[in-house]
Amino acid sequence: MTGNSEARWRRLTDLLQPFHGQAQATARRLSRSIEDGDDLYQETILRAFDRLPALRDEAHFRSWFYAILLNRLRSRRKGAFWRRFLPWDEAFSAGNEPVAFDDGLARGSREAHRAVEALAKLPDEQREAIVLFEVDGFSLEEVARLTGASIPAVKSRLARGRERLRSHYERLTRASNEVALAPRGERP
Amino acid sequence: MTDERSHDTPHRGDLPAEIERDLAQWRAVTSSDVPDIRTAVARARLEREAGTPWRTFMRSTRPWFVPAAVTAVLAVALLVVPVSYEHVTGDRVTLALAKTQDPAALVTIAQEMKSALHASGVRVESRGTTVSFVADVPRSSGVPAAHVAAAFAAALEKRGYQATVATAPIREKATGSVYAFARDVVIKVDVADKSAAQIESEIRSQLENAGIPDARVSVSTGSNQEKITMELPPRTGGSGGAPANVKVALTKNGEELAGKGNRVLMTMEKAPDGGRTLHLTVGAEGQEQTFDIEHTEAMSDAQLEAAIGEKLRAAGLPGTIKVQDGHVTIEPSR
Repeated sequence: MTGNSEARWRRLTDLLQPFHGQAQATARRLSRSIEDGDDLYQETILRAFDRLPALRDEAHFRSWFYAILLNRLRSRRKGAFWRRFLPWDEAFSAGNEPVAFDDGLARGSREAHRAVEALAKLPDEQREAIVLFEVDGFSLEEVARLTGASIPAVKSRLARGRERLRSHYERLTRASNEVALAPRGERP
Repeated sequence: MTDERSHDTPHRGDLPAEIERDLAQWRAVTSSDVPDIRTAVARARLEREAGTPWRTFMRSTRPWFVPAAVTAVLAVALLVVPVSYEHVTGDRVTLALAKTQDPAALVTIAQEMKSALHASGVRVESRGTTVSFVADVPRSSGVPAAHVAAAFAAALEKRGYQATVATAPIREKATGSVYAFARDVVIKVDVADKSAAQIESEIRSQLENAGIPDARVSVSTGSNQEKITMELPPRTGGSGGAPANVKVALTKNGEELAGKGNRVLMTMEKAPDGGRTLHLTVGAEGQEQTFDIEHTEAMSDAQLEAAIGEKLRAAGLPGTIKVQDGHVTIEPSR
């Protein structure tokens, strides 16, 4: 490892330090599982390391890093090798992809589990908007900048994502009520 | 629908309490056990520095590499790996007669059949009360086997024999690459409302698309008649002698013209050693025949004219043939 490389790793660590925890959590929230999110985060760090010499303004490092993270996420979705050979769209319609529940989530609460299931029902763009705005606390302008969308587009994605979440929860509530009302022998 | 519809500015906390609570729980789960920055960077460095050459290569290569490589390997395999396919090389004519007590008559019939079909030999088989005469007629002979065999059987019946005849194609299994198999080039042209120049241009264009750019094509049309002459360049490439047959299928308003009207298609193929083979397809009186005349380069105009005349007569396609300075003109009789 050359001295240059060592200096670059140090520089990356210093720049990432202030928001590292939040960025890794975002990677987990945007992925199918915590393990998948951690892989995504590691891949983002490596990509950021490679591109660091091209970064001109360190003041924008945070958005630059998140942009890389979102790009890696989208590449993973598009470029998954097995997706090229399996009839993915037939097996799972958009927004209904299966979610892996690894040890991290298994340790989590029932509520977190339910949130993951609900977010998995959303199309990718709506899920990104909801995660970044509702969960991570980014402003509308920041979400627009990070996702490369206009502010009206982000608003629209948020509105639709929220609507879908509401519908999903309403269905869950109805299903629970039906189960509760059904005679004991007829319960699924 | 577009994403650009106007929406009220969203505020956090607008979601139902149940959803907010679940998202908050999830936020907590995903924020827990996050390794510190030094551990995360150290893991990434380890991954980078411990990368095998293959992993490094895959990382530096776009995801399309693997499917592209698989496609390339398959394409090469198609060109190189031999495949077996069948092609028709001729017709097998079987003439069945009720057994006769006169062996000499059988010999005579076999000889007559051989002569009529221009076959190299006739096999005689005896089964029960019938005797069968079997002859193989190669397609390259240009003899319309089914037509001649039917006429021959009719002639035998007139002589008092009970004859039945059957003709079946002879299929041979050939081995070559898929590329070689695909070298049969079929040119399809709809001649409706097209001038000779337009048909000529279309044929030349299709030949170019099929990888035969230097063909000389000439077309002349008359009432209910098209004459197409193609001079093809020598075959090249190492396809193991696989055929590079060029077939022209003419249609008029989508309807096949085979066997309709009087048509002559001449294809002169040059071999790398200078040898020339004339492929002739002649259509007249509801039938169409194809035959080859080899080594035309060694023939005088009169010899070539005689050779074509012989083929046409044998095929039952009378016509006027004229050969001048190697230029062949055939006018099928109407």
